[in-house]
Amino acid sequence: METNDLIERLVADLRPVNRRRTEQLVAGAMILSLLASLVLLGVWLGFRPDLPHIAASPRLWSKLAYAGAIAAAAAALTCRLARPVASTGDLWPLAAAPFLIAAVWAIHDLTTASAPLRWRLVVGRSWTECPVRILVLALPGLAALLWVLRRQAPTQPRQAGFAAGLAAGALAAGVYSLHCREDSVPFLAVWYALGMLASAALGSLLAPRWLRW
Amino acid sequence: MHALEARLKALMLASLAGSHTAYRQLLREAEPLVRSFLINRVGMRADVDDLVQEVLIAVHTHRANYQPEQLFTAWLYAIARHKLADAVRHDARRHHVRLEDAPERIEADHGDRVAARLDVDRLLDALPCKQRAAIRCVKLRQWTVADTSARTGMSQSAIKLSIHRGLNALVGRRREATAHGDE
Repeated sequence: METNDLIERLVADLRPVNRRRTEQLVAGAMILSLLASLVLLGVWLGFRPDLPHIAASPRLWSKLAYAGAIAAAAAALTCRLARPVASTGDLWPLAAAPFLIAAVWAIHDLTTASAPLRWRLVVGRSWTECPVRILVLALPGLAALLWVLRRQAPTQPRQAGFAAGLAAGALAAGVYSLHCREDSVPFLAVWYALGMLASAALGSLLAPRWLRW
Repeated sequence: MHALEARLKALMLASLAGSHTAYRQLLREAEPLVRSFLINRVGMRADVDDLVQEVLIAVHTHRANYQPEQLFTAWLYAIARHKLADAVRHDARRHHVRLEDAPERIEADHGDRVAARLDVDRLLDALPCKQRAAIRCVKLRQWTVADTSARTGMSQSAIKLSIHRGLNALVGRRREATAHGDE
């Protein structure tokens, strides 16, 4: 009886809905956080001075492709995990692939480098700063994506938070590469990856508390 | 099972396209499914009706989130499982305070509680009268929905909907307040 009453009220409240809302919100959050991180980078660290000269070179593009591929896969995962029945399918391997490719490439570079150079290739000049800076640049994106997830219906909050954090972290890594002058693949494979994974870990830590619905 | 899935999915798609008749049919068929799903998992609970209704409200709120390539029943049960897990977690937390610890806790919390009560009163004052009454009776005085209904004359589902809307409004207000506070 009573439940029928509720059903009638819900029926009366039926309005047309936007079916692509989750995707639109995630895309919107990604674009906004990209802009926010760019502004933050400009104000805080500045862009690398040789940016105009290397804008067309693979040194920059390979970094952007590395971060961009992870960001795209993680954003798609965030959309999937925003829904109660989340079929993540083959998207996790897709998100992991850039890390693996970078790792294999890094090992190749290290084995062909001369012994004294190897260590330099890994630590560069800024290994202590890089992961922390990427994590800080990822914070606006992480907040925006968790805000979006909160309005959806995630049933696996840890995984959803991890995906959101990874997307935000990868976006931040791409933005940070416009400042960072380290171009060695071993550096990217270790420190950029660490920054992105730190953001993902933070996301999965915050999510169970934040994603109540 | 396959016939059921096919029928419910067709009803859901028609509902999303705006058919009130299909939506009514869908919710009526979903209700016993959710109920037996919950009872199968945790046995009969006193609040099983409340839980069923919460699931239906969540189905309503998140209906845009359903994708046609998903099984409708799987989607429905995932929401039911989530709401059930939430309720079980809530119970566990409530029973965690052992009786012998209680006096000290209450003692220590007393000042905070008075302040919190005043905050709650102020927040509630901003709501329409029906929502305020429903939240006060059920959430603050911990009356059951049936008791509240008997004492106030509101129907049980009206009470639930008022609580749902009222809490949403409060959450919205709170968010606005924090957003302004941040600036």
